[in-house]
Amino acid sequence: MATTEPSIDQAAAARIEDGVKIYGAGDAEIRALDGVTRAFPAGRFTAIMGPSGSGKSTLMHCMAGLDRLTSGTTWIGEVELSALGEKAVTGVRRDKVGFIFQAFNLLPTLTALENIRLPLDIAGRDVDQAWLDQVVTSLELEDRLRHRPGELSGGQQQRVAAARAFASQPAIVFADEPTGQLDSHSSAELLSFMRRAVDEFSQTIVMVTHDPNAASYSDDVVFLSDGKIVDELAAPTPTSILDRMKGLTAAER
Amino acid sequence: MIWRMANRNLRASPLRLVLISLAIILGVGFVGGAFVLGDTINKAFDSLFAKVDAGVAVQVQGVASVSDSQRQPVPASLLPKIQAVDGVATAAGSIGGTATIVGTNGKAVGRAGPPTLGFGWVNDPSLNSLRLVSGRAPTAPNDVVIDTHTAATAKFALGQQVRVITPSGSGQYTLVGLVRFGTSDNLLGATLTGFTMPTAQRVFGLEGQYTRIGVTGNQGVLDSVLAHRVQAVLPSGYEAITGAAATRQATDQFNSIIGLLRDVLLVFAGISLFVGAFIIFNSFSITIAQRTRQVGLLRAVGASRGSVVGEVVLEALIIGVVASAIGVGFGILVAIGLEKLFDLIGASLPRAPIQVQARTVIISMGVGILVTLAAALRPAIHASRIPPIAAMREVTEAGTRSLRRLVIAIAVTALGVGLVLVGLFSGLGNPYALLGLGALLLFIGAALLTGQIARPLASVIGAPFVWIGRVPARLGRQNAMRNPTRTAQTATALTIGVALVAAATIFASSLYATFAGQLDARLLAQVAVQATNQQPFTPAAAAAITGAPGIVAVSPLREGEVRDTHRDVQTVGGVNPATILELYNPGLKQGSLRDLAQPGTIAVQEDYAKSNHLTVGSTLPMFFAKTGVQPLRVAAIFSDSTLGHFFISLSDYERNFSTQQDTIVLARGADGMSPQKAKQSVSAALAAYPNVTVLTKSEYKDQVNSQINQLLYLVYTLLGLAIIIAVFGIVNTLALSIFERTREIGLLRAVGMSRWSTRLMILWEAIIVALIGGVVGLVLGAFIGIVIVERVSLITTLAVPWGSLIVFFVLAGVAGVIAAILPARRAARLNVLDAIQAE
Ligand SMILES: Nc1ncnc2c1ncn2[C@@H]1O[C@H](COP(=O)(O)OP(=O)(O)OP(=O)(O)O)[C@@H](O)[C@H]1O
Ligand SMILES: [Mg+2]
Repeated sequence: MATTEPSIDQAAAARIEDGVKIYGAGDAEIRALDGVTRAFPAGRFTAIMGPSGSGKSTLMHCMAGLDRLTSGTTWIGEVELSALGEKAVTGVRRDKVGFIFQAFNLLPTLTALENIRLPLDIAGRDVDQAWLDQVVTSLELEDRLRHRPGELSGGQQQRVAAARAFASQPAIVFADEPTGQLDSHSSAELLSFMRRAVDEFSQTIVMVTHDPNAASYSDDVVFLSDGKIVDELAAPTPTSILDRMKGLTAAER
Repeated sequence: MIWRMANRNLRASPLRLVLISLAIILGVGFVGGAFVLGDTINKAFDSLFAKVDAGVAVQVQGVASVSDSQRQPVPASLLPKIQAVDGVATAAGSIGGTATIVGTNGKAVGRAGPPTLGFGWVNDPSLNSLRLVSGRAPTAPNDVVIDTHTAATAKFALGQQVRVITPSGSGQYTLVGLVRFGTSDNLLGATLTGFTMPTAQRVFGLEGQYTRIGVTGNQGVLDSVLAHRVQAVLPSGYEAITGAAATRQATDQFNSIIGLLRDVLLVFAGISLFVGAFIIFNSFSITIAQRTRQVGLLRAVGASRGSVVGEVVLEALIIGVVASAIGVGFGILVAIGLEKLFDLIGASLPRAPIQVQARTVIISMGVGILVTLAAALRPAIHASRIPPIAAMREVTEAGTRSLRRLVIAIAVTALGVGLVLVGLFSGLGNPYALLGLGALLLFIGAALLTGQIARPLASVIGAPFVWIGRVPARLGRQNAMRNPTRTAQTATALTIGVALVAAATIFASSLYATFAGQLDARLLAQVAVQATNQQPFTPAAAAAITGAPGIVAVSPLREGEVRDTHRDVQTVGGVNPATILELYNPGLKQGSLRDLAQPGTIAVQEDYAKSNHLTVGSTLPMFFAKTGVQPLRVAAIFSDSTLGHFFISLSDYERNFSTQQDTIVLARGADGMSPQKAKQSVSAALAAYPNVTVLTKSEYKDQVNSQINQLLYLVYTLLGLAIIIAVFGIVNTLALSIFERTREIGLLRAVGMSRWSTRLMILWEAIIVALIGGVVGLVLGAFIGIVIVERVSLITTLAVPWGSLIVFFVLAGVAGVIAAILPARRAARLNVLDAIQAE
C-alpha cells in the first residue's frame, strides 16, 4: 500500500502520516481516509486521482488545515497541524497555504485585485509588488483587476483564484479540481501557469483532478481508492495515466 | 400545497421566526397592556367609589358653574331643609380639603403629585367615605385620624401627637384612630386626615358650610325621585344628584387621567408596531430574495402567481396570528408589571381583578395580524413577479438605484414633510392625526431615500472604521453597502426610535431654555416658596415670611378659575399689588400692577387684550363661581405670560373665591442681601411649615430642569421599546445575511481569516447599518423637534442639545454592537468546510 518512505524527508512541504478520517459512526461509518501516509516534496507538482468518493477532497482538506483527521498526523513544513488549536491552524492557512477550489473562489463584493490581495490583507502583510505583477501578468489578468467576479468569465475567475493562491508565496498550494468547470482552452491556460510556477519559482502544488490531461501537467500522480493510496506514477503522460487507471479498475474487479 | 410550502418555510429558519414574532409580540403586548391596565384601574376605581358611596342616595353640592374645582360650599343652613324633605332618612354635611401631615422627622409626609386630603368626620357611617380600621373616631377638637398607609410609612402610633398643616395654618393634634378610604389602604399615594366636623370647618375656612351634603333615603324611594324632591328645596347655585351620578363624577376624574395614561401607552405601542412592521417587511423581502430560485422553480412547474402570493400571505398570517395571541398574553403581564410599578413608587392603585375584555383581545389581535399582513403584502407581490426562468439563473442582487425609485422616495418624503407642516401650522383638520400620518410617511420616505443613498452613506460612515479596523472593517462596510435597500430598511427601524428620542430631547431642551430665559428676564424675586408635593398650600406661609428679617417684598401667587365672556375657563392669579413689581417684571405695556390695589380691577396679558380690544380703562366682565359676573376694570396690560395671563389683587381674590391656597410665594431681601441670605431668612420664618420648600432662583431653575428631565426619561423608557425592536431587526437582517453569505464566510476563513476577524467583520457591518439609522434619525428628529418647538408658542427659545445628539449617535452604534453579538458569534462558529461546500 503506502509506497514512500515516511517522515525523514526534511524537504517535504507537507506530510501526512497514518491519516484516518472517519465520517459517521456504527453502521453508517465511512472511512474516507484509511491510513494514508505520504510526503509532498517541496517544489513538486503532485496530482491526486481516484474514483469519486475515494477520499481525494478529504485528504486535501485535512492536509490543508480545513478539516481534522480522526487519527494520524499532518504537517505543513515543520508545523504539525494536528497539534494546533483552531486559531493557530487559521494562521497557518493564512501564511503558508494557498487554495484554489472548484468553484466559488471569490468574494463577489471585492474586485479581482482585492480578491487576489485578500490573504495578504488579512495577514496585514506587505505586498511583494514585483511578484504580484509577475503573477498577474503570467495569468494575463492585467486589464481585469478592477472588475468584480460577476463581470469575469469562469476561466478568468479561476485564474484570479490562482493568482490569489500564489500571490502570498505560500509554502504549498492546494487545488481541488480547479479546472473542473473550465473548457479545455481555459484549463490549459491555468494548468500551464501552475506548471510554470513549479518550474520557475519552485512552488509546491497538490492538485486533485479527474482529468488525465490535467494530471499530466504534474510531476507525480497519486492514485487513491477507498481512502488508501493504491498506486503512484512519476513523470506522467495522459496515456500512461489512462493505462494505470485501467489497470486499477481491472484490479478492483 | 400552499399550506405545506408555508409551513416548511416557517420551520426553515426558526431564528427569523422568533425575531419577527418578538417584534409583534412586544408591540401587541403594549397595545393589550394599555387596555388591560386602563380597564383594570377603571374597574378598581368604579368599585371603590361605588362601595364608598354605596349608602348615598342623593348628594347636594355647588353647581360647577366655572369648573369642578370651583364648586361652591353648601351652607349648613340647608341641612334642616333637606332633612325635612319627604323620603329623606338622614342627611349630613361633609368636608374635604387639603391637609398635610408632618412626619416625626419634621418633614411633610407624602410625595410630589398625589394629593394630601383632609376630611371632616361624618358620624353617619353610610355617608362617611372614611372607614375606621383601628382606634376611634375624632371627637375632641384636637383629635385626628389618618390613613393606615401613612401611619405605617411615617411610623405613627395611636395616642401620639401629630402636626397637620391646613389652609388656616399649622396645628398640633392627637392621633386617635386609623382609617382607610372605603376598602383601599392606599389611594394612589394620597394621604388622608380626618378631623371632627367643627375642626374641619374651622381649618378649611368653611365655618357654617359644608363641601357637600350626603342624603340617605327611606326604603322604597327611588334615588332619582329623591334627588328631584331635594332639588326643589335648594336655592339656585346648588344641585342634588343621585348617589350613582356622584360616583360617576368621582370616578370620571380618575378615569380621564387613566384614559390619558392609556392613550400615551397606546401611542408608544403604535410606534413599536410601526417599527415592527418595518422588520417584518424587511424579513420577508430578504427571505424572498433568498428563495428566488425556489419560487422560480415553482412557477416553472406551473404554480400560478396567485398561489405564490397566497403562500407568502399565509406564512405571514400564521406568524401574525400566533405572535399576536402570544402578544395578548404578554400584554396581561405588562399590565400586571405596570401595576407593580405603581406599588413600587408608592402610588398603589386600588385592587381589582385583571380586566381582559373582549374588545382588548379583538383590537390587539386585529392590529397585530393586520400589521403583519400589511408588511408582508409587498414582498408577496414582489415574489409573485419572479419569472420561471429565475430557477435557472444565478441569484442576482437587484439593481435598486433607478430614477423612478428616487422620484418616489422624494415624493413620499416631501408628502410627509408637507403633512407634518400642514398639521402643525395650518390649523386645518386634526393636527395630531396629520402630524402622526406625516411622521409615518416621513419615515417611509426616509427609508426609501436611505435606500438611494445607503451606499455613499455607508462608505462615508465606514471610512474611519476601515482606517481603524482594516480588513474586517472594509469587508463589513462592503457588506453594508452591497444591498442598499436591505440596509436602509434595517436602519430605518432604528431611525424611528432615534428620531423620536432626538425630537423629544430638542423639545425638552427648548422648553427648559425658554423657561430659564424667562425666569432670568422676568423673575426679580430671590427666592420662591413651593409646597413639597407641588400642590397649592396654606396662605399662612406667605404671612409667616412677611416681616422676616431682611425680607422687603413678599407676594403669593394664588390661582383660581373663572369664565370669560366667551365662556372659556381662564386662570386668574391673585397677587400683592404693593410688592409684585419688585418680584416680577411683567413687561408692562399700559398702566401698572400697582393700580390693582383699586378694588374691582384686573391686569390682562397683551395678546388677550388685543384680541378682545381691551385697553386700560375698558371693562372686562368675568364670571366667578362664588360671586357671579364681576365687571372688572382693566388696570394694566403686560406682555409676559410666565406667571399667567390675568392678575387681580389678593383682596379681590379673597372676595371672589371661597378657597385661599397659594401656588407659589415670591420674596426678595433688601438691596445687597445675597440670595442665600434671603433663603436662610425665609426658611427660618417657615420653620413651622415643613410642607413647603424654599428655593433660590437658580435652585428653582434646577428643579424645573429635573422635572422636565424626569418626563424626558419616561419618554426615553417608552421609546426604548421601539429601539429594542429595531435591534431585533438588525439581528434578523444580519442573521439572514450571514446565512446567505455562508460560502463567502467559509472562503474567508479558508484563506486565513480568524474567527475573531470574522466576528469583527459582522460587528462593523452592524455598526455601520446602525449608524446610518442614527444619522438619518438625528436629521429627521431635528426636523420634527424644531418644527414642533416653532409651533408651540409657549416655547420661544430653540435649544439644540448637541451633546445629547452626539450621545444618541454613539448609542445607535452601541445598538449595532449589541445586535451583532449573536450573529457574529454564529458566523465565527461556522465550520469552514461546511461553509465552503454549502449550496
Ligand atoms: N461531511 C461528510 N459526512 C459524511 N461523509 C462524508 C463527508 N464528506 C465526505 N464524506 C464521504 O467520504 C468519502 C470521501 O469523500 P471525498 O469528498 O473525499 O471524495 P472525493 O474523492 O473527493 O470524491 P469526488 O471525486 O466525487 O469529489 C465519500 O464516501 C463521502 O461520501
Ligand atoms: Mg472531491
